[in-house]
Amino acid sequence: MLPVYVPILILAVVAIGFAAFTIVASHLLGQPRPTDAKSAVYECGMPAIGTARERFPIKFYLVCMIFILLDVDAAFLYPWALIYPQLGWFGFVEMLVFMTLLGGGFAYAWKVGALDW
Amino acid sequence: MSGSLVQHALLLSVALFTLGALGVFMRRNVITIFMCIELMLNAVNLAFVAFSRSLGTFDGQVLVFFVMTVAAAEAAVGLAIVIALHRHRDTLDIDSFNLLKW
Amino acid sequence: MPAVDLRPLLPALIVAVTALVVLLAQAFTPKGSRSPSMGLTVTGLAGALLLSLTMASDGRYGRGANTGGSVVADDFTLFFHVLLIGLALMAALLSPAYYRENGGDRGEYYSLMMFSLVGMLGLVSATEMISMFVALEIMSVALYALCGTRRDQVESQEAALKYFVTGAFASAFLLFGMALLYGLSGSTSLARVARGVATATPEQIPLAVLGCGLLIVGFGFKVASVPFHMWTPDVYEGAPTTVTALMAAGVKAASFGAFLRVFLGSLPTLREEWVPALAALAAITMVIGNLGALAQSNLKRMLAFSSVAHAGYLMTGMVGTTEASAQAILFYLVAYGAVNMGTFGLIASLSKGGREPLSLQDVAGLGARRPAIAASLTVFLISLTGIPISGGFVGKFYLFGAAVNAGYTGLAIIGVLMSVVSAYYYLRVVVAMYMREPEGEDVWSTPEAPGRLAALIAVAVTLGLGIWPAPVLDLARAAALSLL
Repeated sequence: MLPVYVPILILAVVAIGFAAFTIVASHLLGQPRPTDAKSAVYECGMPAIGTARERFPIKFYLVCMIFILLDVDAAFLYPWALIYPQLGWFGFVEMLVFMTLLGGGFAYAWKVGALDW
Repeated sequence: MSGSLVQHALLLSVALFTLGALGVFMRRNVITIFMCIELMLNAVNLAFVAFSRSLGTFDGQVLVFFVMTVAAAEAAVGLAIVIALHRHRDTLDIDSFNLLKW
Repeated sequence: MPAVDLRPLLPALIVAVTALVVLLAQAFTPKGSRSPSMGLTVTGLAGALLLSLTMASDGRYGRGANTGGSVVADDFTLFFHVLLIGLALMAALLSPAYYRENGGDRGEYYSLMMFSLVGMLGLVSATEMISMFVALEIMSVALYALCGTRRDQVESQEAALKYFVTGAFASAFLLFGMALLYGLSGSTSLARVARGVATATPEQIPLAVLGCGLLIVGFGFKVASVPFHMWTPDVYEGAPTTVTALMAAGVKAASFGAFLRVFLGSLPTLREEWVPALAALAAITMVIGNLGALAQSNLKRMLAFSSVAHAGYLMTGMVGTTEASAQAILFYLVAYGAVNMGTFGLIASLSKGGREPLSLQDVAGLGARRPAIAASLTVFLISLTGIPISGGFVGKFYLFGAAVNAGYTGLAIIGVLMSVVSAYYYLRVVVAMYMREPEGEDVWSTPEAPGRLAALIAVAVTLGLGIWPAPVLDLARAAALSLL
């Protein structure tokens, strides 16, 4: 039972070792030149300080929903791709129908301006 | 081994399903009710995966795949309805939607 | 991988592609000009109807074919296909006038209606639980959105929310029932489930019974049977009237189709367990539906409770579990579908400037002012009551007959008594139309040609089924035989 986990152990050691190595190395080799922008808390593109219970523009919702729908539906492509050789023409036609419907929905969303910011 | 695993998974699934169903009746916020329904669907998914594993057939796992997709579509439409309603009323309390008597 | 026969999917595929075309046509129509939504919809639906009829005519065109064991085009499926596409066609004819008066005549509405129809078509043809669940959800999700298509009206939004919450809740129960049956048989195919249930060990029987119970809860919500009917009056009242028509006629038919296929087709070995439960539900559904309808002053709400009551009548037929009961239910679904499409359709086509005739004052004196409309409404209400020369009478006769043959005479007696009670609230409308003086100005619009055509079809079907029911009864019998 235990030997099964040896690769995971090795992976963990390598990962921790790499992280420790980069931190120590950058500390030893780098020259710290701090500026205001550099020492600010990093948060991708948004002001990091303020209330978290802000109201978001409703446009976020539209884009999120369109993303989720396409994303979840795209998940059907993976199992399909795995057994595509066995499915042959039937699988091709099926997927073509599926993608047409999905693409049609996308074209509709685009055209009525759901993606405009 | 695998028999008791299925039993445990099923018990958890039933517990989650019951919690979700109770939540639908007891919560007042529309979004919370919606989350409770999602919990019920995921409890069923757990049951399907557990059965699929113990029986060694894949039908259950395939069904779970579809349930997740359907749940996403349902969420999109459901939230759209909630937003449309919120434009008329500035609340999400289910009891305040009483123009039509239950 | 052997070649897969895709013919059973073709009618639904035509409808789906039409829906997509209508959607894109709306999006690419320049602002200010009108998109040809209704024309496209009617063309596509007529094509699907013709195809279904062709398929039903002969085995060469796909009658009896099945797609990988998950979708089948047997007589049962094709019977429902013709009925459901016909109902959607009538709803499409009724829609433009209604939406012009009430705002929002847009392609999205027709498109959603057809997507919902795709779900209904799939629901009655699925012989496997994955397809059945996906079809059920396609039907329901499109309908949730349809209920809210009157964006300016808060009642419409509220109906959409309530339908969504109860519908999604019901789906979860249905799904859990499916999970238990899958756990028993190791397959989602209904045929394998039937075999699994038939050969279940004594320890497995409780699992199967619990699964059956959860399925009854799920289907009970969809067909609006008591105690799972709370959403019906609110949703029927708040939804746009043409959508209510499609819900009352189409969704009920499609849900009963799946209900029959699962219970009569696949779970007959558990008959001893689910028939008494179904009989009890049928009895309380008939009583509460009819008593609830007595108390209503709003026509749409009254018809909603009448829809609950009719779920009870249909379930009364189902306790027979023979092909005679399936035949009776199929026949009654045709009669009931035509009548509901006609009644809600007439209410919708009279609507003007956002108002509809919904109270007894509104219809008072209609017999003098609008003789043709009043006469058609009278035919529909007579059929709903179950008075001879209407399809409703013949249908109820066979439904209650099936219950009596199964030994549930008491249930049939409740059904007849409740039909007598229902005469009070149905005929009250007829009395108001003919016996009362009209009040105020005649403010309602005149039905346009497409609406008149749909109403005429409904009247013809209702009277035709009452006077000469044999052809439809024969078709229903063939459909029932292919199921059992």
